[in-house]
Amino acid sequence: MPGTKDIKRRIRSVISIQQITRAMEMIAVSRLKRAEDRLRSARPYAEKIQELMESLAPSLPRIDHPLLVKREVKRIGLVLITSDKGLCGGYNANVISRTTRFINEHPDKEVRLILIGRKGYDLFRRKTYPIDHTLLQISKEISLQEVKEISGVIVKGFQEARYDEVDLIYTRFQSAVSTQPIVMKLLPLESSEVLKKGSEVKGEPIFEPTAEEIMAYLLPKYLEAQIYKAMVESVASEQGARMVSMKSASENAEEMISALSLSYNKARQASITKELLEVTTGAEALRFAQKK
Amino acid sequence: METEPFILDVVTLKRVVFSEPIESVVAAGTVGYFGILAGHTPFVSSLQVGITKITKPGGEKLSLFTSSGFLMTDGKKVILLAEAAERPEEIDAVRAQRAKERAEKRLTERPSDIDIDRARVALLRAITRLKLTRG
Repeated sequence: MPGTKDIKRRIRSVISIQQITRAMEMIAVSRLKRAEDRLRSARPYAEKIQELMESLAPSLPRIDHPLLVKREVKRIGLVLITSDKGLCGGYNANVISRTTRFINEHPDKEVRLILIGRKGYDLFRRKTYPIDHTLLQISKEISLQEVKEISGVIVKGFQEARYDEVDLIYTRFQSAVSTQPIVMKLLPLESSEVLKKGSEVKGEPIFEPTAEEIMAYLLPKYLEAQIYKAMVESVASEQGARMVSMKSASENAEEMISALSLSYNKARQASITKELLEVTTGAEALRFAQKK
Repeated sequence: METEPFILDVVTLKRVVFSEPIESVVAAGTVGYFGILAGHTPFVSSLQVGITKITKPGGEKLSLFTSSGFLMTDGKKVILLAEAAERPEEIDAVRAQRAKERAEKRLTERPSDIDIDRARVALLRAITRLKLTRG
């Protein structure tokens, strides 16, 4: 059995770890709350742009736009959203294993990566897949510039036929404890996917300038809205995962502290008993000697 | 002319900037300014950087800075989607001034690696913002 001093030292170090995990948990809680607010306020735009897309859908087949071109898929651009920081449970591992699965599902295609977040970059730079672009240190609010940076890379790559298809892997946020890595197809945009509600055509409105021009203007913005939403959801999922994992870390620390306190008390008791035993046997021995 | 108030929603990627019943709205379409009153025929237009003028029921007026986006109406409500939308009191005049100078510098010096169209739009954005802060 280790001495009381060693146990005491261990207890102290577990307590300080617990203080850190508690603090991180609190930070994650407040960041999660803000991320959820952002998610809520991003919803109206996403819904409205979807509505607009649907109103344009009848004219979609007539429209000849570079982002709607369908080619035989040989090269896929894959956007991947991971976090910059760790200590968030299985968050990054889940995204990465989904990515690996995606790549394995497309063995005959060339997959080129566009990485958002340091964790994904740290992993994939050591592998052989080509990396076309990386975006590290995304800001907490997620700026429009960051979204445009990514959409710019995708649009340019698709127009120059560097990608025949672009997919995005992000973590969908349902609640702090329920998140899920999702693959979303970004390009080419397909009318069937735009029309989720089965296309209720309400009579074509007047378009100014023309439906074609509005569509050309709208497509990149639609793409940006989707990327923004995926980024916001991913950040919320990250904070949720961090909150949950830090909470369980704090609980584990609590358990460890109580187990260690128990063995500390046992060790202390044992040493007291031992000392007492020594004193009494010593006294006993002296008395025995005097009697003689 | 008295018209029935209708709802105008001004929405950006990040938030809802305005959502109130109004009497009329004038916005900067890519082919020119246009106005919308209640009962307008279903209409969709793309917007450029400009000032959106809103008249509330009772005649109170409000101007918003809106950058490129869309406006759509079905006659009962109007939705304005913009990349950025700000009320005059929200505009950062110092930042806009700096953006203006930066864009002007780019346009006069014209280094080979810049996107002229982007600089032009940036200049337009800055000038429009400044115009609105000065009333």
